[in-house]
Amino acid sequence: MFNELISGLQFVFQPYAFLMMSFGVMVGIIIGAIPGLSGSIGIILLMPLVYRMDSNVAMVMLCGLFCGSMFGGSVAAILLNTPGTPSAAATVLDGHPLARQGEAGKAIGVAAISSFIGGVVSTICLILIAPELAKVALKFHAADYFSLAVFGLTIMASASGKNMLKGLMSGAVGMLIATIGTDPIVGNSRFTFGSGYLLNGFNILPVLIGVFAISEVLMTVRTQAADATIQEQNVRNFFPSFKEFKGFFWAAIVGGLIGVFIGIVPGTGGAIACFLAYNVIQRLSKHPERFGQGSLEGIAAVESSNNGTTGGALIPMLTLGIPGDVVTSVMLGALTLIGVKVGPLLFTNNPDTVYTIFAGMLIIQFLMLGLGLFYARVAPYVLKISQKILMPVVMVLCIIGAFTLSNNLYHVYVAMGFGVFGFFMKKYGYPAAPLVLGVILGPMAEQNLNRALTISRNDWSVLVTRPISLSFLILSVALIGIAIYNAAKEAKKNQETTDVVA
Amino acid sequence: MKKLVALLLALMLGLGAFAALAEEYPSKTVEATVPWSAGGGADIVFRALAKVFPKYANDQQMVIKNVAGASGVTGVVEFLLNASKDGYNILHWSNAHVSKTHMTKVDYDAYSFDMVAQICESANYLLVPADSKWNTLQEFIDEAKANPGMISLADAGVGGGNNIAAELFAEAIGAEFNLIHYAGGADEVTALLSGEVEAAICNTPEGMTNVDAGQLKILVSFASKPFEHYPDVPLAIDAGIEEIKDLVIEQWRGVVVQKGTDPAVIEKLAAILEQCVADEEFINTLKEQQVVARFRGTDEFAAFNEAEDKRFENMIKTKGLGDRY
Repeated sequence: MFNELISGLQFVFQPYAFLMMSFGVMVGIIIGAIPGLSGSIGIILLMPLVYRMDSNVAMVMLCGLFCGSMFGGSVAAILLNTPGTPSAAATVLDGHPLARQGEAGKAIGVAAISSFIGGVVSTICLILIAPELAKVALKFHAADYFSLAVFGLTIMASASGKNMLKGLMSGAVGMLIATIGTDPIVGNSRFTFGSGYLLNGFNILPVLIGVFAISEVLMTVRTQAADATIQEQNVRNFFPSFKEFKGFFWAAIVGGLIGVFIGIVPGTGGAIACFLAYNVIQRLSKHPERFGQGSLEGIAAVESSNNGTTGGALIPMLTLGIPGDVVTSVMLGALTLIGVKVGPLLFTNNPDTVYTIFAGMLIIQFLMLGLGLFYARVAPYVLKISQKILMPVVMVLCIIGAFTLSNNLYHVYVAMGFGVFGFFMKKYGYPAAPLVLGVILGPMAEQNLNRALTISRNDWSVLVTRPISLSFLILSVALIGIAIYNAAKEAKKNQETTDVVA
Repeated sequence: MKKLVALLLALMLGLGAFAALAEEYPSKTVEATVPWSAGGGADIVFRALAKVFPKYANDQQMVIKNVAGASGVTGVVEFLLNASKDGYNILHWSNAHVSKTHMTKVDYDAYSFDMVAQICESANYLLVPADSKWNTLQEFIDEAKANPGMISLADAGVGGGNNIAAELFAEAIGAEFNLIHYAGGADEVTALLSGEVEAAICNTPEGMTNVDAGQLKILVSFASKPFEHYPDVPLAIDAGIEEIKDLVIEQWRGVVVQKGTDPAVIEKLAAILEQCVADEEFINTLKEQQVVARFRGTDEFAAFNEAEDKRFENMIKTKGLGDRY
């Protein structure tokens, strides 16, 4: 095994391969940073290049893009309060508050380091125990997906920040939005008002762009002077101190492992992993009250988990030919286009390709760390640009991002619409992160519940007899229980204080 | 005299230009709208077509424009509204688009465009795990008939090609399956491998890498010709089972243009496509996906389109799928 790994490393260090790999990482970070462009769109944009390349070089370039985009999303999330990709949706929770405190550089630095740690953890899992972990992918049946979605939805409560009720309402609206379109079970149209465009419902990306980015632009226009800039930035200090590093290191490791696990499960990806990791780390943290105010552990958890999904999603793809998430499914298409037969026989028929990927993933993490720290040094200067220049630029990028989705103005209109909606949400204090969760998890829960019941012929017990499903349901109940208990305690405490005062 | 010469010259130029217009198609790039996302089955076939297109089309390129959404509806609607009638905008057309028109009310139907030609077809087939209890098709059919609604059979989405194939199969053998809808072929294969469903109706190349690896096996193919890669897989029409001896279910793709395009242009385009479909490179690229290059000319394709349209309409009405009827 080590021999093959060495030859993989030799291949990857060849000038052309190394250049393309670095190119992939760099393009990935940039694409990730632009709101509305995600890793999958990045792969599609690079298709013309991929078409003409040697397949091994193409593979490492695409992997570089994949990993880079996962980190890149955090840059926009921290600087502009907008996740650059859905996988960075939870980075805004702690990343932007840090930027408002003048510590944008450190936030991006922590994001880069955590992405690195998450990527390394997932690559090690990929190299050492891929076949065993692939079996996990096959253990998930519809009932388990449903319970996972339910668990994800209960996390809404903790992603809501201070006002849980508003957060839950936001999440419910997200689920409602997700029902628009074609029902996957009988093919009925729901809320489509006869429009051919609405038959597809709303894609998550324009919703994200609208609710986060465009609403932010509108909010800034309304509340700030044209020459204002976000808080003066401490640009010298982008590298966390050793003490800080010790503080968030454990969060990065745990986040990375959660990311690997979620990445392996087909049909789930960075977006779900990031919220899950955020919630878990918050529960385990010694300082849970700092979450939402600029906790480094919070950023570490999110960024390491979304990079953890990269290696995780490659596991079922390379061992079974099944993509682990959205980006890997587009990657699979791109590889098929250039004639790489990705499937269970890849290990036996093309071991050199497999080990090239392993070696590539390892080196990519270091490239990403280097580039990421460079961005941490340089990117905060963006915040020095006055709003009257920055906001229009952001707006243009959003429109481009929304348009790229399908070369069609429909998504741009959707993004604009959600921008206005998001503006009112911000104005009245409704958090946006639960909305994203609702949009992603609502359909997952509905389709899988339906599927589980169809397979079991309306036998509901399948939800509790399957061990994985049962575990997630118990966790969900426990989470809700804890949330209610905490809320009751808060209320009692407030009651006591008012009693004392009175 | 001068006026006469000028008039004659003008006439000659005019005639020459007119002749040149028809002869010179294509004289610029042709844009093909593919209503599916890049990397998918439709995209792969059309990119293979675009690769060989310049050879037979005065060195003009074909560029692919992906407009994905709503199982093909978004792209078709956009083409309907924006495409020109001069043959420089062409549209991917397949059985999936036809069946979609019967699932929901959309702004077009199977006859909204002018048919040009069919370019390929791919087989539907029945996949089961390699270690499943059924070794032959007969065993499967017998158990399906004996236990209506018990065998779980996966398809790739309600109203889609695999779903309709499953319904046609069930109807032919007079059995009832527990149909489970997934969001695509890859999800069906995952479900088979994880043991969630017992069987799946798939379309090439879904699951084929797993068949090669010995994890899944094909019980029957509904194509009109045997698989080149799997010569031992029986065809429904050859299996010796009475009920399915006429059952051919394939997914097909072709090219259409806006209604009202000049018939001379359509004829030229069809001729170019015929050469593309016969091209070695095209045939081999499709073979990688187990897709068969198949040409049906303008009239034949139009008739085939109508026949398929009626077949789907009938099936969807009977089973009450979707919400158009």
